[in-house]
Amino acid sequence: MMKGKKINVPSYLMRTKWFIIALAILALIVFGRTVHSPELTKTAIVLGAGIDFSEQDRQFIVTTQSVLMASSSSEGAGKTSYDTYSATGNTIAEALDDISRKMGLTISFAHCNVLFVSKSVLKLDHMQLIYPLTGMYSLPENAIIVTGEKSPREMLATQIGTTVSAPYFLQLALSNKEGTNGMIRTNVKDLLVRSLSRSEAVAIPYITLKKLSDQPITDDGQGEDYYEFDLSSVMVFNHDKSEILTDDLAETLALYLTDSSFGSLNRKSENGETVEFRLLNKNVDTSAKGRNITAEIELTVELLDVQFITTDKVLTGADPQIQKAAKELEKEIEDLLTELFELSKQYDIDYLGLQAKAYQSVGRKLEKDCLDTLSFSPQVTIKVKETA
Amino acid sequence: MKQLSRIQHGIYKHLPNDTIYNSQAGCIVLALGTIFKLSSAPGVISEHYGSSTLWVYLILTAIEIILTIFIFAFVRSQSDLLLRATNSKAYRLCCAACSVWLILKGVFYFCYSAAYLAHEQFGGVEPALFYLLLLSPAIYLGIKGARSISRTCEIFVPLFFVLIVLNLVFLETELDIGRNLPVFAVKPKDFFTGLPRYGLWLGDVIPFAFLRIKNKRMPYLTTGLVLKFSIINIVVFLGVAIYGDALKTVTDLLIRLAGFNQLSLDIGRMEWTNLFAVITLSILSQSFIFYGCTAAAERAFRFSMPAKIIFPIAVACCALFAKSTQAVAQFSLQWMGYVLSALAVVLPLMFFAVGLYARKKYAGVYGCISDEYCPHPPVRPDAPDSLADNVLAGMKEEAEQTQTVLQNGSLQPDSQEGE
Repeated sequence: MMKGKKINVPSYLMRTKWFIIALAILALIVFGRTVHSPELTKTAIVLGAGIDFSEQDRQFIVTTQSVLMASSSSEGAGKTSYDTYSATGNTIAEALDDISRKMGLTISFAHCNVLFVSKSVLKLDHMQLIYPLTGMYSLPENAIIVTGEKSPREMLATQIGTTVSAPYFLQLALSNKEGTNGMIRTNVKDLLVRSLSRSEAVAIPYITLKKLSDQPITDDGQGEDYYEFDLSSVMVFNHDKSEILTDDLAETLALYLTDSSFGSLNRKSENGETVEFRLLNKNVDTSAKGRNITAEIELTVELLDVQFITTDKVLTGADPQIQKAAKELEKEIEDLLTELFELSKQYDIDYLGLQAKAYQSVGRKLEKDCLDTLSFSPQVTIKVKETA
Repeated sequence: MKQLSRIQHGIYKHLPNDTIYNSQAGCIVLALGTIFKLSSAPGVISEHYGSSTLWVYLILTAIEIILTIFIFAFVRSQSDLLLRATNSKAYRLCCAACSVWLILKGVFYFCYSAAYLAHEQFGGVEPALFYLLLLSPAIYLGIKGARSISRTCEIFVPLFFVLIVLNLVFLETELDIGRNLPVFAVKPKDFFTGLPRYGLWLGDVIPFAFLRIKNKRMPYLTTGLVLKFSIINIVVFLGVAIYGDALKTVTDLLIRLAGFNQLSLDIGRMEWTNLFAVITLSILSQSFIFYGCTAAAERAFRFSMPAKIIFPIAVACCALFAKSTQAVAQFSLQWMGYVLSALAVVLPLMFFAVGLYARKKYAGVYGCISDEYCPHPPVRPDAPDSLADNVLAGMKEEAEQTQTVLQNGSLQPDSQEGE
């Protein structure tokens, strides 16, 4: 009679991968049915959110604009609608819960690319403002942050001529780098980084609304209440002060702060000669030696348009008139940067980030609020790339 | 001595227990190094050190390199075999301490992983279920042993390493490398006295002490170590450059960095790429720590069952019944951090010193052990070969290092054979 082989059952089971796989499948079947998980059809995909703060009531007014995709039916294609809801709460989370109840859907910020905030919100602790949104509500750190003359609720509900959704317009205009001439782009991450730096100052787009003088014609006839966003202003602020910069100052600040700028630069001489350059590339190198900060800005441009220059030939980038205009533009930008520096001292808002730069050189001995003790010298070089 | 291995083209198909290839060791080193040091650690360190975070990492890297040298010197000398054969009491004591230290490390690492994954990445999932799903594969792999872990790492680690590197290649966001300055954002005295609190992230290679490493031709282990130390410091350098003092708000740097992938604008959010890497590599790293704990217990107490029971129970209980996983994780940064640092530094030195002493004291035994575990490739005259000289080409290459190959291509008969 053969001697039977003794089997070590636990050891055998441990070696049997199929047993483990079967266990995993069983766990997934059981827990998949019993554990609550948010479904996509029950989720409100927020395109843009607005946060306002009432200083009197100490309450947050949160607004969301969600895209709702109705499923296709036999009658025709599915319909998409943009729904704006507002709610008030002691915290942002409470207000969002309220919106969730109103909509009957779970709020998801995972695809929210624009965050409207009011001036009053920006006086609050920026870390406490942003951290729950990026953490618990999955707000992308790339989301653009903007403010404006109207409340976030009004701005979100505004109808733009080119698209029905204001956040979608801003996403195209700011995130996708289309038509960013002079517009500053500050995302949620940049807001927090600059706010927690030694400079404690941030610059974000300041939007003004203008009613379209010529309302668009829609299927229902002449449209009403269509607006356009003016993005050419910038709000600079720290924890207790804020100022609005406009036109050339805002454009130059965007050139200095924004990582990549696209658009055009214009030079108009005293006798009316106008040269337009298209910005191809930009390199800003800011360095500090002690309390002296130098910003070397190198711009590569190409000639875009020339007007009111008396000449009998087609001008190119190599021509002396264009080179002269480029030199004058260099000087103009340097002067604007110097003006920005003087203004920052006057406002006591270090939006150029000079204290943060000085801190890298001087070290922890650099005292706080030392903007007056710093010097700033911008050096701008413009290279005109020849074009046909 | 029974020969467990079978040779195929110079590679052992079946290695003895607790023996892995250097390529597999390189993969484990890479998994251990990148995940726990790059997930929540940068944010935790930045909270105290600010712009000095990179410099803290560089100092920790220097210490880790020294510890790695001691551990792999111990491994290469096969001191573990000698110390087990001679039943060294000092070694058993060190292994007992190592086992306890690895249980603590496992608990704290798990709580760190659970804290940021369960509460931030998977907020809607029941934490208990998440802990179970995270812990069970780690325990399973740990019980299966080093070779299962190493083979799994060999598959997943290169894949996820490439993914992490690609996310860095496509990184597009505003950054300022000057944010890594000044070196001393805190006073030098506070800088150096505060360093040992981060001992949890030291000594990850210590479980290798219980393994034997067989070399392939290429220096995979050295490559793995170089890649590990490079990627850690590069990611932290970029992390500080991108976030500055806001790095303290970042709970998982690797996942956040993937969010700045320039492809995000076209194909949507990319955080999931590094999220997969973080979850998989966390499980593999946790399983290797568990394996190290059981191997140390086996050497200390002759059987590994206590560690196999205590480790999972300790981890599960701390995750499920502690006030919060974050509180457990924070505890590792208080006085416990100094204890963990001390053990992480002392254990490799002790292993090396005990091994060195045993090798001198038992020189004769040591010689036998070395001979026993580095067998010459067996001559198999009946195996097919290309030259019809009864020797496989792969065997010849290896035999050239240990035996004489005759002019006709055959091996010189081993005089010891048949004795």
